Amino acid sequence: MNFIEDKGITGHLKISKRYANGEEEVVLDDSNIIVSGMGESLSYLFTASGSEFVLDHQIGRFQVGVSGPPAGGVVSSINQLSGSLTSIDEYGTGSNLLVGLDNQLVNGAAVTDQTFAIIPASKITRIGDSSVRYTLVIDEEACNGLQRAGIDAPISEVGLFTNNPSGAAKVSALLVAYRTFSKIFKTSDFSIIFRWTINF
Amino acid sequence: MRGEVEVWMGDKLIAKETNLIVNGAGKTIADMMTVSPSLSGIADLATSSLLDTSNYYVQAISFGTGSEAFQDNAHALDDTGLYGVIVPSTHINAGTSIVRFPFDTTTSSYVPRAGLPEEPSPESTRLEMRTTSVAAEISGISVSSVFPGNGQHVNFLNADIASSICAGTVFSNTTSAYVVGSVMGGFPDDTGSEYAVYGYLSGTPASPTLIGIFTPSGTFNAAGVSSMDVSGFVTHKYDENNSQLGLISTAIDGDGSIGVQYEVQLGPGDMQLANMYGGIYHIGLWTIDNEATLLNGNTPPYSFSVLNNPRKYRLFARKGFTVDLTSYEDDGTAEGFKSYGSGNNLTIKWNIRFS
Repeated sequence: MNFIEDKGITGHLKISKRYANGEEEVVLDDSNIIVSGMGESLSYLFTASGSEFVLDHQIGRFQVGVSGPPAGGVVSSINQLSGSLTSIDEYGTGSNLLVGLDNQLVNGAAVTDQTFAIIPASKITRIGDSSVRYTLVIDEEACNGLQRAGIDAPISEVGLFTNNPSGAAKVSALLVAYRTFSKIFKTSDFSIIFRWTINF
Repeated sequence: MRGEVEVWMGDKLIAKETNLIVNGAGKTIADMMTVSPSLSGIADLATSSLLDTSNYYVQAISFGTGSEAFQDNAHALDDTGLYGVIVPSTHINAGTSIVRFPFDTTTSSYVPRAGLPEEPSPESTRLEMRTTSVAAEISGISVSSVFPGNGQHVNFLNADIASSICAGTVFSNTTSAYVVGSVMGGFPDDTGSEYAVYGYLSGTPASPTLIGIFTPSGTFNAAGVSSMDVSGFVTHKYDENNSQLGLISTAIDGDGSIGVQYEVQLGPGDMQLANMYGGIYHIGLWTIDNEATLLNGNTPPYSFSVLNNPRKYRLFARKGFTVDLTSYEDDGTAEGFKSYGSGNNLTIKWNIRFS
């Protein structure tokens, strides 16, 4: 029960490494940052000024990045990852991830051809009256051997996006939740599972 | 997400307070976030309509008062059982609606008895969770057995609405329907219908007296059609070209935050009759409850209807006031209730901000 007059949207993220033998190692179990994009996205919905198609307002995309935390600190005004993966190849063409290029809304403007992984509907689960869990799986074949400037680059940030809340002609995703975590050098020995719960 | 309500009488700000976003808001957003994308692949209007955002944003506003108000004020029939005697047949024959209320004094103001309105709770699912059934009986049959209360002011008083909603019930004859309309209460129309007010004037406590016949002007039952359904929900975007009809919304922009402002206007007659039926202590914003609407056998898109509204609503935000929004300053012995609000509309501006 919440007796405050504001309705605060909160989130919790649990990150695990999962090895082939089924063993899981939890590397993060903490709250996330709901960024200002969540308010912007809901505003598109409630003012009926964005897309009239409800699927466009759903959280359906995510990115991982290699440069977290951002230089300006982890604040709610973050509107993009500081070092998101830049190509479909970096996500891994042999993986089970469905990855594509779409625009991204940053400060109201569309940044073209950003790489997003799609969250399958089967990985979106209602776990309470107002709680939804998103299960993001970076499988063994995904995001391996990442490098920046010739040096191995660890995954250290992740973000959730609503699909296309503004209803733009070309899909323009909007960052709504963000989290940095300890560096994970991804290899084919394990998959990474993000269990991300958003309480609306 | 936070909200703030402004109440204006004409151009005078009479209240500005924060609201309570209830748990239903989170539930509606979670509903929206978990609609199955597979529905988009089905070439069927009803199915694709489930994917329209209008099913998930605020679609109505309603007004309520304390639980005790529904057993008192104009909801109460006189206990002498004088129905049919005290109501001049000419009024019924002319289609005049009947409002009876205990008008204790000869002065102009009426202070409704509403008890203590319910305290705010995020778990609220309607404006007043306690019973809001009327106590009146007609020919020994309890009105609430057919029309139970729904936690807020309803819209039965209009003669056409009362007749239609009572059709097929034990109150289907014209006379009974008017009395049901009278005890359930509601809001006037703007077509010049007369309303006869009966009350207990000082010095004549034994029987109700015709205090007067007046023609209040409202905004909800306008031009023969209504933006408010029989259950008391004022629908969103009833007429985008007329800001005085229904609930309208505009984006909030330029003050450093983003959000939406919902606005609704009550005419002097709306306040006048709401006052007689117990005042206004609660207001609420509602979204469509898709699950309840579908379980009720309705097929999207859900078109608004006054008498048989397919839309079942879910409370999104609620605001309670410690003073009655319809309270009216006494005006000596003149029948001031006939010129309620000095002709001014009551405007409610409800700002929901997302950042």
